Amino acid sequence: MTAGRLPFAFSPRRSAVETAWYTFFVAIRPGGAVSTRIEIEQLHELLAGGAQLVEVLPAEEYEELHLPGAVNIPLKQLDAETTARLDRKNPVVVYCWDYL
Amino acid sequence: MSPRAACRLHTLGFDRVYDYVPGKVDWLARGLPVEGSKAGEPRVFDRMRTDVATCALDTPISEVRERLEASGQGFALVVTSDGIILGRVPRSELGDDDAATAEAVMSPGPSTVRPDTEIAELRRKLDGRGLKTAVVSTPEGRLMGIVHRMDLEAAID
Repeated sequence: MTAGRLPFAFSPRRSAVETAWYTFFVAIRPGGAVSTRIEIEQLHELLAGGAQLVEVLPAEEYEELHLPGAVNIPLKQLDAETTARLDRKNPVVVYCWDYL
Repeated sequence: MSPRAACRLHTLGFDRVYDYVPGKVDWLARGLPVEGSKAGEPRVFDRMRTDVATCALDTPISEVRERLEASGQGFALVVTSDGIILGRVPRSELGDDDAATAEAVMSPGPSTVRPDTEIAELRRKLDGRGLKTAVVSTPEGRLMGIVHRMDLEAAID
């Protein structure tokens, strides 16, 4: 390790244990389907393929800052009516601020 | 929040739902473009330095001192092998016992800021606490870099 450089490459990825924990306890739905957790690389691929980006934070936070092309449907307003504008034939990617 | 939103979309009949859990913080940390009323405001990531002196818990003080001298920084950060910040070792706390370890002299749990923090906001915080430097980390506590108050001045002025 030398001074002047971080001793590791910055990566927002979780460790294998964290990912397994997340998948088992957070992402598995009662019905058995799994919401696929993605990282930046998969996000770019999906967007290039026409995926729809949805920010689920409150409108004020969306107005201040959002990813290019994202639409805003706050979590508290997610229902059949507000999601009617989404194309069911294309993938949907949701995001908020971070892991929390 | 986004996992719940993804789940809700599944219940609404959407079959191909993906959750970009790292979210806006991750996007901003990579310097990617954003839209919105505050899109043009400078953020910590824009002024962050990565020339940080780091060490492990068991690094001898003699080695920490060498790294500090090489970096020119006033403190070293104690991190795990994958970069989680454990403590801070100011140059003034190194002492004379070169055989001691960083763990023995570190201040645990240093405060950190997120890379997406607006520079003006961070400057107010640093001024309020009389600090000259902020440590930048991911939401998980992984070290990304540091930012100096003087660098914030340059960004705002």
